[in-house]
Amino acid sequence: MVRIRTVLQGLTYGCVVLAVGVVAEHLEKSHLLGFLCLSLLALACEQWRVVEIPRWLLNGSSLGILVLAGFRISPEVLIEPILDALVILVAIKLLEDKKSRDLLQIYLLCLFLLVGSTLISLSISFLVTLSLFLMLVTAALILLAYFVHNPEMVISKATLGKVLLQALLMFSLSLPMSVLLFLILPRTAYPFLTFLNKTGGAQSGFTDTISLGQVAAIQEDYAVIFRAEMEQVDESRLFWRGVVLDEFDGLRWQSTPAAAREELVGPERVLGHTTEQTVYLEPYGNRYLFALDKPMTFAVHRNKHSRTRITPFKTKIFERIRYRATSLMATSFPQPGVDRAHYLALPHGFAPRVRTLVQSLVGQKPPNERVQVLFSFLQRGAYAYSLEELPVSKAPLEAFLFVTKRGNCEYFASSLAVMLRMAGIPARLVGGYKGGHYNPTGKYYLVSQRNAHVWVEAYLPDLGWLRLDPTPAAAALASHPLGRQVFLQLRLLLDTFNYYWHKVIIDYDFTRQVQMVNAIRERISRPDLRFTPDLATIMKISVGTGLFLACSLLLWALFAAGRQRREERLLAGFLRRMAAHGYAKFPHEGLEEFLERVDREDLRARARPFVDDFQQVYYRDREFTRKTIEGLRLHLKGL
Amino acid sequence: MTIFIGFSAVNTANNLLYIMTSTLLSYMLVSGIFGRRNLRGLDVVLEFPEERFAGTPVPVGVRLINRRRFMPAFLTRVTIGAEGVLFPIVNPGTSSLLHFDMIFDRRGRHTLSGITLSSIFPFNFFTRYRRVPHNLDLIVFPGLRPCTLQSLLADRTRWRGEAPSDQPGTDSDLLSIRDYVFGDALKYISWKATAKTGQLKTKELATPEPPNILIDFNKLRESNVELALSSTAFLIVRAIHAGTPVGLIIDGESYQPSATQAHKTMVLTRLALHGQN
Repeated sequence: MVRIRTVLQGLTYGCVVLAVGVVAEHLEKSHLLGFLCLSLLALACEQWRVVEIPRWLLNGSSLGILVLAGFRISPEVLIEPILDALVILVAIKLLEDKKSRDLLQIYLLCLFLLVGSTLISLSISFLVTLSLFLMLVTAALILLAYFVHNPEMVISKATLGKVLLQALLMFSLSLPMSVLLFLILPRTAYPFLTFLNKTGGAQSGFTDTISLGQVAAIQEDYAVIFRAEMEQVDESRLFWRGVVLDEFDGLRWQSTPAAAREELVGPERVLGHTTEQTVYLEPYGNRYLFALDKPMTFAVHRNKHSRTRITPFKTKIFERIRYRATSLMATSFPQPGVDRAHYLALPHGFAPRVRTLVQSLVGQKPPNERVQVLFSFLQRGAYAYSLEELPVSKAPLEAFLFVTKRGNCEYFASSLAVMLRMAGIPARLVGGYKGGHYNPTGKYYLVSQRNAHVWVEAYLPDLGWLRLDPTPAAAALASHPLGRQVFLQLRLLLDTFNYYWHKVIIDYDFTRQVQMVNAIRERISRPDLRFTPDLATIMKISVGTGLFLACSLLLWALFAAGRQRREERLLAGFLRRMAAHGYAKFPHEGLEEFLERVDREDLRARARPFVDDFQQVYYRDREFTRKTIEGLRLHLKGL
Repeated sequence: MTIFIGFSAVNTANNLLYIMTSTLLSYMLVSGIFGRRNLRGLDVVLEFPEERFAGTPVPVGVRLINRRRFMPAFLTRVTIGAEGVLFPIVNPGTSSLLHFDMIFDRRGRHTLSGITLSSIFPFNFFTRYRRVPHNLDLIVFPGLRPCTLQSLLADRTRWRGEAPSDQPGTDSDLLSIRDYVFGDALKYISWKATAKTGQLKTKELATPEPPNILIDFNKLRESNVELALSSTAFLIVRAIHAGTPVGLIIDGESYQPSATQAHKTMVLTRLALHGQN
């Protein structure tokens, strides 16, 4: 036997842990600590009656907490103070001698915490938390109904099991309905409270300034930067262009506004084939959009959470955005009116030793050959790719070229660009990402910070800007960025869920709702009778049918519960037939009496066998066997 | 709450809030369905004792039958009039019996037509009701008012011989004297016979022949009809309990004295329906 109060206590603490857990990382440490202390005190009070705090004191404290939170609220910090106050309120409620309304208030506060969490984070983990929370709350609310009748009620474990099963059933049945409601609930194209959403945050890893000689080692970062939905392409073409770095001061490469303007101008002529990508870019705190080299157009999907319109290369990305890009898949593209002097500029008297090296390498060769020689020198020379033991020096390029000969892509690309400029070839760096892992399930490339890369573009009059990637390890880089280890493969699998979570759930909006309605209307008005299913379609249909059947079975089980039994249906059939003959049974009349009332002898004779057989079984509490039922049916036909 | 979250969802275009709103709405729907189903497929059978007296608590047995195949009946309250009883759980295909005391405030015919099933399941937000069509006719006997025969009977009633004591006694005529059997009460030992024979002898007494009582209701001293009915009912019940045959004459109808249960029911029913059509 179990006490309802004890079970409710466990469920309530479960709900509280879930709700506070989901917002914990956004809480102030002092509030989190306060919550933990108060909760522990509440537990101790419940177990050992350590101290009984008067209700007026608790209510007064709650009021004080709310007032303090009110003072902390500002347009910039809106949600966090409320969440901080809510967790303390939950802890205070836990301290009270919990009556049914107190428990209800705790669940309500937990629900508020979950609502608050949605305004801070859009993580898929919310769905898991919400599901668990709903299951716990459902069970708790059912038990609360028992608790209301008698707070000290004790029930058997079997009864408790049945109550929990009901909670699970309710949860399972509400799922398909929730999906349907999610799709059809009214949405607006112009929400006006978007300032409440504060999702996302800047990530480190991408920079539009390359500084050489500052750090000795680089930590690899596996954080996802973007996902690009597209067909799989040749790995060697996976250069995701972000920023052009055109100005070099001897230590740092930077992007000038002129270069940024040039980026927005697409290639003059389309020389190769184009490819389209839909990119889901994570908030990373910079303003560059990434697309396969060389992007021609960007179309940023209007972000429903955003107050500002995202302008490519102008607005800093602090929220997850989606955009479509069209790219020209070529290694070079022409560009008229290139400012040669700008792309040849180097600091005065910069690295004479390098200049001597370049002179010795290129001599008087034509531009194309100069490029070839310098590229080969770096890529096939004695230089090795490394993320450690990087040259820390005031003349990092020289240290790299002549001393350490080890460096990452920044050193290789910088060296090549500088050497090209010294050789009279306009050159610049391009920052972005290289490679990415193709997820065939979701049909997208997953690109992480580890794929960050820098390469070189050299300007040749007959080709235009030619992409050169001098980093030797570049070929081996990053098509398998996540490795082959099991846990990393698992991470990729989880990323598929994450991807669909954002694509299907988070980005569902008014536009898609309208599209869906239009598609359904189109399908109805012009049905397509051609049916040529592929494997995926058949799978989808099978899964859908399976789910539908499972739900129907569940509903049938639930609704069939109150149905008439077979024998009752037969009796009802008998009475209907007799009524059709003009003899209706009175409510409290026995069958025998009823039959006596029938004055048509032939009818009475035909009805007699049914009544006899029925009474033989029904009033003697016997089981209606298949044989009896068949017999009764036969008698009915005779009527 | 749902409306508040829904409002926030629409105006923040936050799909997680939409998820919460849709889940809460579907929960409202599902809990409604479960609450409705919880009261379906249930039958109530009431079990009353054979004798029911006005003003005296009557133990009523309420049997709740769950005819459903799968779903137990949770937290079902069966209410009859102002009284009710709560069934925490009745498993599918089974029944459960609980008792509660019911007091009928007046004698006569009572028709119980209002049996109500109610439940707050699944959540204590709404109470759902279902009326069970149930027409049960009950006869409630007059309330029992303790009294004595003398106090009730009219002055002109003549007693032959001694006025009977209303209390049952054990003394009566001597039937025989037999040998003492271990366990016989000492007071029944015939000391005289014992002295004569030298062996312990026990007196055997005849069971007292109860006198027949015939109550003419219309000649009772009590002018208040209800009090008269209650007093008569008390006397009848006590007499029959003591095995004394009792008869009744009321409004020209005559019931010959008898001490059977069937007679008691018949006479009490007549009293219960006195003055009622």
